[in-house]
Amino acid sequence: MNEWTLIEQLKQGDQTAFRQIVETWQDLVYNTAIGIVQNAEDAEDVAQEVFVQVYESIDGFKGESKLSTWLYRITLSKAMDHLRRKKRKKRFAFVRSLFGENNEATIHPPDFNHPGVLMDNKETAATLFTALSQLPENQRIAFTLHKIEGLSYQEVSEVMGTTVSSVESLMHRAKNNLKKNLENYYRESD
Amino acid sequence: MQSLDGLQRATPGPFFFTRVQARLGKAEQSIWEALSSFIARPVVAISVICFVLLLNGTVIFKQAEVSPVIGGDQPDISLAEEYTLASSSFYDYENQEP
Repeated sequence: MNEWTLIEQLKQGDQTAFRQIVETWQDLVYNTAIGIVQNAEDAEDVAQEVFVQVYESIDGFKGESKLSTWLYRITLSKAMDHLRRKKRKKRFAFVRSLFGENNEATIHPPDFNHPGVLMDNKETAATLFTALSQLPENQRIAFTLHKIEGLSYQEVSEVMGTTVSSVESLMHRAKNNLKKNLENYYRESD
Repeated sequence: MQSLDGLQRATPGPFFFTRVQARLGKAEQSIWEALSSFIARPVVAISVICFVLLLNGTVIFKQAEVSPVIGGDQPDISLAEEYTLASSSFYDYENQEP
């Protein structure tokens, strides 16, 4: 079924249309979310939030962009919100740990292993994901969309609402920063 | 950087749609839960009670202020009429005390 037909049906409250939308785009949403939040449970949580938002605000979708572009935007915004919330909690836990209330802040999460990475690349990919988590927001988003979701620069620019040359520049800076982060990582581990 | 070559899309666990539906139901329910928990907050409950009491007090006070003007000395007159306190009989007129 055509995506516009599905959208129109969902606007009329059709549950079958909603089911079809979820099943068609769930991998796109989940894969993008896991690339940003780097945790399977958090990605599942974000993906659910995205579809709840889609259901609740479908009337506001005017069709000026593709449904997938809209879904990418919601996913990125929810995933970044999730990260900010997590960071706030971590900071709060750190402050509490200073007063000896608990030791949460001293516990570091294990390295993230993306489930789609080939077996031979698991270790190096985990290191790359750690370096990726230290990039500024925009560079991280551009890198995730291009390298993990496999979007072209043109598609990334549509999702981010910017020009292709800005995406090229973001990717260039992201790669340079990743190299620096990885060099520091390997120097420290030697 | 090449470790991401050949990367496959990660997929959520099975029955993802069922979990989304459960979440939707929870979101709808939570609006009422949020409303009831807001009303049940001691600050809100006490404020509402105070407001109602204040409103009652104001109404009573205003009515007390207004009633003498409207009624005037009407109750005294009607009382006198009802118990015939006024001298209206012939005997009373004839036997006036000095």
